[in-house]
Amino acid sequence: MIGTILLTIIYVFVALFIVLYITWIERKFAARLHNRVGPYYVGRPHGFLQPFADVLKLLLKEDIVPEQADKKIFNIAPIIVFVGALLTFPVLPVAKNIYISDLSVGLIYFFAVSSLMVFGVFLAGWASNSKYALLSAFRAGAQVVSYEIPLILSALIPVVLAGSLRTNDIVQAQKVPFALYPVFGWVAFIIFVISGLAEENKVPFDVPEAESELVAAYNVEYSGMKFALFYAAEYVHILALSVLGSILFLGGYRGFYPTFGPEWLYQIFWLLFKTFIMLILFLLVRWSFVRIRIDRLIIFSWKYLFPISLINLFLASLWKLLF
Amino acid sequence: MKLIFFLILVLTALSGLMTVLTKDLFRSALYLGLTLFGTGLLYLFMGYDFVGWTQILVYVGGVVLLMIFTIMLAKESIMRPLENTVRNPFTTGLFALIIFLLLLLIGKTFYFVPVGLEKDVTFLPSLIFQSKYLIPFEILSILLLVAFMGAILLSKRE
Repeated sequence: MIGTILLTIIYVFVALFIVLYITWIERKFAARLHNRVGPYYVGRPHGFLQPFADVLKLLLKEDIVPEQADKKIFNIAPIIVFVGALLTFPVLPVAKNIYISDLSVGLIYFFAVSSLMVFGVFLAGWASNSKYALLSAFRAGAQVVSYEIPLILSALIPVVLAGSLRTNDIVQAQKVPFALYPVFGWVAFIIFVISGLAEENKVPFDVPEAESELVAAYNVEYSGMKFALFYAAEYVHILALSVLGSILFLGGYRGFYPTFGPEWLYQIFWLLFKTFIMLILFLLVRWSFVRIRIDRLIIFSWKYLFPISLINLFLASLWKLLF
Repeated sequence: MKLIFFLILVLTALSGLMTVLTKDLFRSALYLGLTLFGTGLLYLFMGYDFVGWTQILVYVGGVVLLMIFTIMLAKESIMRPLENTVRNPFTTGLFALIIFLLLLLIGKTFYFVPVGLEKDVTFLPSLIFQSKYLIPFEILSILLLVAFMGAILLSKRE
């Protein structure tokens, strides 16, 4: 019991620390792609302390609640989004014996909890009582609901091939380290990355944020720490999706390691390494494409990704039955 | 543990009541979401992990979300505070009482039947994923989807 609580606290702190540094990596990465320098002065020479400066700045900002807003819902929304994002971590094992909960329906838990985030986004958009926020929430809702289907269908491929919804079993079922499943797995991985990006409202799928038309997003009216909660929740969810992607498709904590030394340390290293690869993949796509129009975005999900992932799932289950 | 169970029970019942009593349509949908979330948690307490989390995924993350979406898209007129439309409190109360007693009767008759195998949380997923039921299951879901699309096509104007 106490061990689980301690592990939970460690999980939360490590996740938040990584999230802080994802923002730094992203800024540096984007700057390099744009031929800029990026954060430099705070924590010279590479702006290592920039994330802490950002947090401090957001903490010191004034907390503004609009006069016409539905205040209760307005205040609850960021908490729902953040908690929903953070609750996805318990079922993600970082090593063979290190996990908070080994739920037998781990994947369903993951998606059930992350669907709470959309709920929070809707509440934020509604409660702000601003047309920009409302329109943005509409778009975010339509987009997330459409892309959740290919995301879950592609995540079902490893489930079907491993015959279990338990994340640890899925990792164990991948015999060769780094091996993706046969063709189905590759297709599913590509769909997973695309829909994961869309789920995050990230470029090229960032129509809910569209600075030029909708000012920013469903969180226009939020300031200070409440804004920070939305911002952090987004990155926490990116981290969770990257860990999930590396568990489902890249073999999770499996990898080559020597026989000496503690096994779990190598396993944590491999998981973090694969998660980092996924994160860089997300960032690379994010900073090299342009925004897609909203109707094309929805069409792309329903007319292409959805049938492909459905057929993929069908073929994978047929393959599983026959061999 | 008992205390948490009791708290969730009270929360579920209260939010169910508030769904009916609140005047704001949007709030009503939110309370409905909370009620369904609480029901999911109650399943979890009984040990039915699969049913509980699926309940939360499908109802809170899907159905209630679509309801809220519809409410947001609706005209201004629908957003006015709801009026109290109960004309005959006596008849309504009587019917509510009869339904409640009926439910109680059903609960008394069927609830305490030993459930045995179904309580095993890994039972349902392995039934779907490790057996010959997988492909019929998928074909069934595609059939539902096609019916859904047909309904949309039929309800379209022009």
